[in-house]
Amino acid sequence: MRNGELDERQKQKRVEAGNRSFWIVISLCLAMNFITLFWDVSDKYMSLGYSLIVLAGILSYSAGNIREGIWDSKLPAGPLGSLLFSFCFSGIITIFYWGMLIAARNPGDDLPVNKMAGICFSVVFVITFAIYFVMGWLTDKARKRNEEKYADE
Amino acid sequence: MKNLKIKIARMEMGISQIQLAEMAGVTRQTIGMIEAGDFNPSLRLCIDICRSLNKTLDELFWEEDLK
Repeated sequence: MRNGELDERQKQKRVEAGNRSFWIVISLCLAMNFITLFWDVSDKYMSLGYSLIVLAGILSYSAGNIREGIWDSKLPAGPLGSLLFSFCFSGIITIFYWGMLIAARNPGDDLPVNKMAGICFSVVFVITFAIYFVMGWLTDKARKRNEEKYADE
Repeated sequence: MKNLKIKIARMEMGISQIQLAEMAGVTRQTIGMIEAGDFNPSLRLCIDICRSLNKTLDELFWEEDLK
């Protein structure tokens, strides 16, 4: 087995986690639709609601993978890997954000685009690093727990 | 239900879970789970395990007492 490759059990578990997340997202979307049918919800809250639903789906999928010790074998692991991944990820997000600021800026606006992009990079970097590092750590813990449970006697 | 047949066959050959896992192309944890009865392998994986242990499917996976 190549490093970073998942075997059939891990793939099955990943599909199970994906299915579970899919139905969670669908159920929450239906619930959200009912809420919006009966209550007058502003666009801002609708947008927030659907964002939270997507987040719930991502969290459910991540939790399913973490529990099986298969967070993401293709991404770099450890503190250095987390740093590298966070740097690249926040860089990409910042480029998009910077581009959006430039596009949305009116000719007379004195928008501190570079400063805002810098803040965006820092915030996304810290959040990504923290989440990625914690998830990696939890995955490692789950993997070790399983290793002990199914140890060769 | 625990699959002791795999474990016995593995011990007869004198190989560890890691070695069998490498031969069958899975992780050691998966072999541990199959032996513990916590995971039902696909036919493909069963055949790979049988080939690795020089056994037939009947010898490793057939359960006589099940009706």
